[in-house]
Amino acid sequence: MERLPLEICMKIFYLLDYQHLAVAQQVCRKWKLVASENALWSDLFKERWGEDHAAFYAPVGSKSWKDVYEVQDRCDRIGVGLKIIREGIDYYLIHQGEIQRHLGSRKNHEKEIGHCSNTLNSESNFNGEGSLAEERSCRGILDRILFFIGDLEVASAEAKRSRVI
Amino acid sequence: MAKESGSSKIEMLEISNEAMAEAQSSKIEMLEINNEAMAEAQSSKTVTMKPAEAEESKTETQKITDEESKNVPIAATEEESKKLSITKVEESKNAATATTEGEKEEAKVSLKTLDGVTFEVEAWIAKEMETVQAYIDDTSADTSAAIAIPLHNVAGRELARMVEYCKEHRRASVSAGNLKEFEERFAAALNLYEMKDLIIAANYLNTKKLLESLSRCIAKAIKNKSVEFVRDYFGVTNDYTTEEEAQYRETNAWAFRNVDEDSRN
Repeated sequence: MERLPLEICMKIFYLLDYQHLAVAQQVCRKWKLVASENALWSDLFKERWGEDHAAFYAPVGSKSWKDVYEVQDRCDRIGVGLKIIREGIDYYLIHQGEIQRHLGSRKNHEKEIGHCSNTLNSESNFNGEGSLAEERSCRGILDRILFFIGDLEVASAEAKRSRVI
Repeated sequence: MAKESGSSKIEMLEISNEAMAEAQSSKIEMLEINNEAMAEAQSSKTVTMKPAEAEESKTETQKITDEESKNVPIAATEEESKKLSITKVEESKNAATATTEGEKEEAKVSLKTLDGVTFEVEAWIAKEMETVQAYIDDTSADTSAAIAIPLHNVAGRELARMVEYCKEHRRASVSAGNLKEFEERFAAALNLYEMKDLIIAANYLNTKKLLESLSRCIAKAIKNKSVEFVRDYFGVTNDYTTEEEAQYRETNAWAFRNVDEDSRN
């Protein structure tokens, strides 16, 4: 099987949207680099949200245009408020599209140690440390509650979205 | 009381798990349906291509010569209508012996392909292929008329398709509707792997319009295809470890969520 040259792949990538670029990134390491190019994702951002938004949200520091695109897409889907959501099998605490905290995943939720009762009592206290004396079963129940909230948020977001369409 | 509320919530979680399982199974079914549709499409294309290939191989030389004589470079609209009438007359004489009138009208360029076939094309077609045009510019005018230009990376079938594309594209450029219709017809005649061979040849010869057209076709073809299909089609080796692959799949889960939503709509 003959390979296509990389410049042809780049031409094709410019014609794909972000979902299909995500597929392309999973093909191999080289494709991950090429399909993550800032020029590609900045074009997609401008196409979807306009030049003014692009100028305002231009990435700084080590961030990339792909990261900025992801955050903006999450804002569109979920809103800018503080929310618990699920992406894949993982649950996250989201604020203004940015991931504030990784809450765990269903596969290994029993191994998570980061959860504590303070999280429910005070939303602003995200770095609070739990009591070491807390029982494992309590953590399990807390995880389930948080995951349920994430599932509920995702389901209601989809419901709102379909209603708009 | 606390235990009862906990157990009821756990039950609700189980219900949502079942819903997720159903969604995944329906997604798998959709993928299977897509695969079946693809198989049918490919088999039908294979059947239709065979007579076309047979015809191409038989009348290739005569067809090229006829088409060369048809294409007279005239700019004015009235003269283009005359050209069309001339084309119709010549089409009715298609069975007749190939004429040599075309050679007198304009200088021709000889192109020799990888498998030894020599093509004679109009100068304006050679100009479309920037690699060929650069070669002509580097050579003196006297020798370029006599010697066939070797194309080491291009097969005869691909070059025939490219020449055909250039001619039809110029003819169809009269109106935008015709042009779009032509490009769709041209793309429909190729399967994915022929498209790939042709785009490699177009890239080597730097035929820009054909390159853009084929890029669009291939991009359209690989949309909504799986990672494994894209790997196989592009001939790319998977150098991820299993853990890395799973990790990236999760990292890009945000993009796949919209795929689910789109499929539901």
